[in-house]
Amino acid sequence: MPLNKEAYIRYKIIDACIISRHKRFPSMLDLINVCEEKLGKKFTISTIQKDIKAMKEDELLGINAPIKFSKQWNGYYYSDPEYSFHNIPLNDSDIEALKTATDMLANFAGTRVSENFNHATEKIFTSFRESFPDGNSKRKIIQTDSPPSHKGFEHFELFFRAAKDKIPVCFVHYSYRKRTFKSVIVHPVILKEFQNYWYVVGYSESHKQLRTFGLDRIYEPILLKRKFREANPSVQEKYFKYVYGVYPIPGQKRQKIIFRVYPMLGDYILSHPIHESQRIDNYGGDGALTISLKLVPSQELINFFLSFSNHLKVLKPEWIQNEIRNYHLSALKNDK
Amino acid sequence: MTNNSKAKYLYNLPEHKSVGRINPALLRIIITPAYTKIDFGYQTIRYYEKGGWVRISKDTFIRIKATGEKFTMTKSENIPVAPVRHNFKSTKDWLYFSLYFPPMPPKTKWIDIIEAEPGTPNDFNYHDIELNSKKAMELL
Repeated sequence: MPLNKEAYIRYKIIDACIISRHKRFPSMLDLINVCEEKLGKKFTISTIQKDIKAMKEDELLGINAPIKFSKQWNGYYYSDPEYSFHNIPLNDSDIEALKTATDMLANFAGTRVSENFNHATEKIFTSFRESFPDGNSKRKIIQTDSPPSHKGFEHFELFFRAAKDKIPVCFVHYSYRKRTFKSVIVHPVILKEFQNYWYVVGYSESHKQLRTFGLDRIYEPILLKRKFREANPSVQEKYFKYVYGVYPIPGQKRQKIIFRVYPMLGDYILSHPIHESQRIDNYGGDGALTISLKLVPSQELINFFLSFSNHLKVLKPEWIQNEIRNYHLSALKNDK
Repeated sequence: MTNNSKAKYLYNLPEHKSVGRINPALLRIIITPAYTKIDFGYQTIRYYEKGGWVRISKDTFIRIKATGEKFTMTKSENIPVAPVRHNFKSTKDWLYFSLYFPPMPPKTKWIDIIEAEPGTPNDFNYHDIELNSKKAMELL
């Protein structure tokens, strides 16, 4: 049974009162007063009595506090002076949950985040192995998508700090598309992972708008002693909430995109929605689905349509239809 | 240049009057009390099969326009010093590299970066680079 968070806080308060050297043998009234003061609400005698009973007797909780009442001093105390509330043993379900979480954390560590994160997780694994030697199973139960570290990932921590502490950054950027170098000043807002690639999104002084930069195209970022420019919240929302992927197509607004998918892909999209705005507009008798999205079109969305182009057809808007047709014509030309 | 002798300053995309010199692109000049660092980006062109090659002369120097004082290159990063060459793999290849020089005196306003004089179009020469103190950004 999950432990109620507020009850757990009351247990800690009761424990602190009992072990307090400032006022030994706290009375029931003392306990109620301190709980009310700390939690900012009223408590009855019955609630605190139930708490004490649970702390003493509830096997599932496993606190087993040796709480006694002294008639002489009209207050509560621990019969075992060595007892500590902080040494409460974990029950079986706690341990199982911890093992699962540790396994998941192990998957996320490694090349996915920063070196500091890896140090921190290693500390957790070490103490976990010391506490639960049997939990250090060699058999891998969970496997997440963890690609090898890619170029530019060494800048993750600098951009993380810059976004967290709001520090502008200057870096050299190489555009794969334009094949040019540019040195830009960016005020980072967020680090975003999409399909195992990391990107920094921030206000670019030269572009005068929020832009996305792939970490793999960034050289030598340096932190600047300069006033941080906050990005417009509504523009941020457009970037973070209404975009599939990382590169919204310049000049495009949030719009309705309608496409028809054939049965096999339809099942896949139903179980793995592309975006939270996804709606089924029509169920066809042949199993085909007409699906709509309401978002800002991105290059990644067009790539998604292209990758499944033998299983779907874009119905609206027309410019995306044309875009896809041009890609296909270009592919045919390259194939000759 | 600015007056705080202990601070590090960045000149981003400094303006210069080297007509036609767009490759390598002069990207940043960082001036610290210990060194001057200049960052460049080179994009290969179609003229050379497989993009050609680059290298930097060990005699490359910065010249202060007002005094004529010269500061010879102390180190290069990501580009070999002649006669060693960096050979590109294609006409779509690129290279980011940096050159290091001694620190510049305070209040320096105009400099040249010279690989060879009088030089050819193939030498990495940049003239009349402005170190505009109003555009300088202090590094953290």
